[in-house]
Amino acid sequence: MIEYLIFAVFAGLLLHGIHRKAIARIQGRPGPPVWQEILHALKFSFKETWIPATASETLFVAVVLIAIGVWSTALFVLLTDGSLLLLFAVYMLHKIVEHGLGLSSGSPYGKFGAIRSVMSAASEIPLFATIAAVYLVTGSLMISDIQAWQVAHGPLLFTALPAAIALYIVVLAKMHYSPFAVIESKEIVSGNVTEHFGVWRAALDAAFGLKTFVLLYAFILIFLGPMPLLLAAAVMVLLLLSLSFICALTPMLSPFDTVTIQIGVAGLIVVYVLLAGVIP
Amino acid sequence: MTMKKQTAGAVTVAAGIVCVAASVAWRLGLMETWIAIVLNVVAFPFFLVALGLWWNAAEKEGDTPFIGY
Amino acid sequence: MFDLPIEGAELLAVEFGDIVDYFSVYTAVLFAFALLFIGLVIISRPEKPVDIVFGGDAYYTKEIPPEQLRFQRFMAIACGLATLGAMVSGDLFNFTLFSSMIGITNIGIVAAVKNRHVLEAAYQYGIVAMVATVPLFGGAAIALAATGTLSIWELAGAGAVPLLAKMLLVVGVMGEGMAPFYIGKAEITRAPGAPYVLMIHVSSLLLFLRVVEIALTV
Repeated sequence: MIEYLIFAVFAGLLLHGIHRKAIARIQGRPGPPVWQEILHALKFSFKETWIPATASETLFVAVVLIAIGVWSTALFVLLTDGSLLLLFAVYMLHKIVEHGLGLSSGSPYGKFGAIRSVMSAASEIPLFATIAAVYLVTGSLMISDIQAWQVAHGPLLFTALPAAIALYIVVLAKMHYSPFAVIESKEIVSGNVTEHFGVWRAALDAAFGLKTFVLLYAFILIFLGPMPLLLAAAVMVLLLLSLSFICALTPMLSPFDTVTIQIGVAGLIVVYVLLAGVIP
Repeated sequence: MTMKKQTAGAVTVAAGIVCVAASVAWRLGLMETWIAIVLNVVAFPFFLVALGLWWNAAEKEGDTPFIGY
Repeated sequence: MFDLPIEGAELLAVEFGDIVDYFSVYTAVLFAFALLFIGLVIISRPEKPVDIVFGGDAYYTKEIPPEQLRFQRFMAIACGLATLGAMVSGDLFNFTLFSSMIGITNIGIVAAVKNRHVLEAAYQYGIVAMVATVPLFGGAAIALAATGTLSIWELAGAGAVPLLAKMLLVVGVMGEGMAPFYIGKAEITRAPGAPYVLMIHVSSLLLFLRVVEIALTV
């Protein structure tokens, strides 16, 4: 079990590295080596670490632990073919983590990052709730049942395309340098992680690596169906590259535009769910 | 507010033992899956953070950190 | 025990007379999370928010006065307990009751701050939470009228609750869990007390997660 966690952390950090490399190449820069993010996390963990004097000490440390715990839970939900609803819950608990990171430090930058995080939660969460569309199509929210359904009927990607688009936007919103990543945009320094340095930052990097791995893997499991491990890894990288293209070519949106776009898409999905599943 | 090197080391070892023991017991079929998962989810964050704190904990007095203008 | 393919296996049922609460894998995780944050509220001290003085290089940190701290902490713990109840309750009426209690305690957390802007905001949230009780209890009432029971045990998997009732329940919960409204206003930047303010968001999000589960189950 611990081996899965450690593997997922390193795989996730490697995916972050590939993401950075791809963005750099698209923008005509050489970019860092793909293992840069792993080195980055290690580097942070060797830096001198303390807790800022203005911070709420317990909360400041606890949210870092919770971040890792939350995404470890998500990984095990996927590995044990658990409930998609539980994955959704974990995603929302991540919002609490983002918020807590910003609030606990007492820094105004962190606070603004935290506020943006909850503001975008109001629009990202309806998007994720479109897993209800998956329920309407497959009649189950257990990942094992969804897999079985896809073996029988082909990938959900084609049957429930709008739901796939919604989840794709959710994954995109969580990537570094994404047009929706307003919580860490540079006009508020590093947003909610501004005051988390040294070991705290290294641990958060590990948690975010886990998060990227879990979200990409979940997208594959839910919308493309079961596949051998190597193929899954290849598809994950392809999916990541498509995200990298969007991140490389789109500027950071303003917080209001982010919310507007996401709510707009969520509204379309609600119409789709009503037309496809509920009204007939 | 820095943790002593010994404390961090002890937490790392304890959490690491819990993680590894739970994983091994699960592999051998001695432990139910959900118990192993709960133990790992609880112990892994402590392991990771304490590991970092342990290997960067200074054994001598450091410089005064920059405290702002 | 009902085992729907929605939230994982049922683990445990707790009987209080004819009120039967239940834990599934899903609600147990939510319950544990709420419990964790109650613990954090109890043991952690509030942060000292840094404010910048306009027109100069100076900044100062705010301190929370002890009586405000005690009240906020009390309200946050009460809010956490209400959240625990809402996570495991096995019938719609108890769920709506706990939801409105979360709304009340949320306002309490905000209203403890003695700042005119924050108090005005708290007053407005109070109105939102009060108005939201209409769809909330209305949803439960329609479910009762249509099916003759409020027990999730009876309703699970039957699909008997009208869509309108489910939608009203969701709308009511969105009004009671006031995090999105709170965050939409500038007042949060004036209100210190990170562990307690965080409880507002924990309760709002967990309440929303539970109502999604209920809407899919009944």
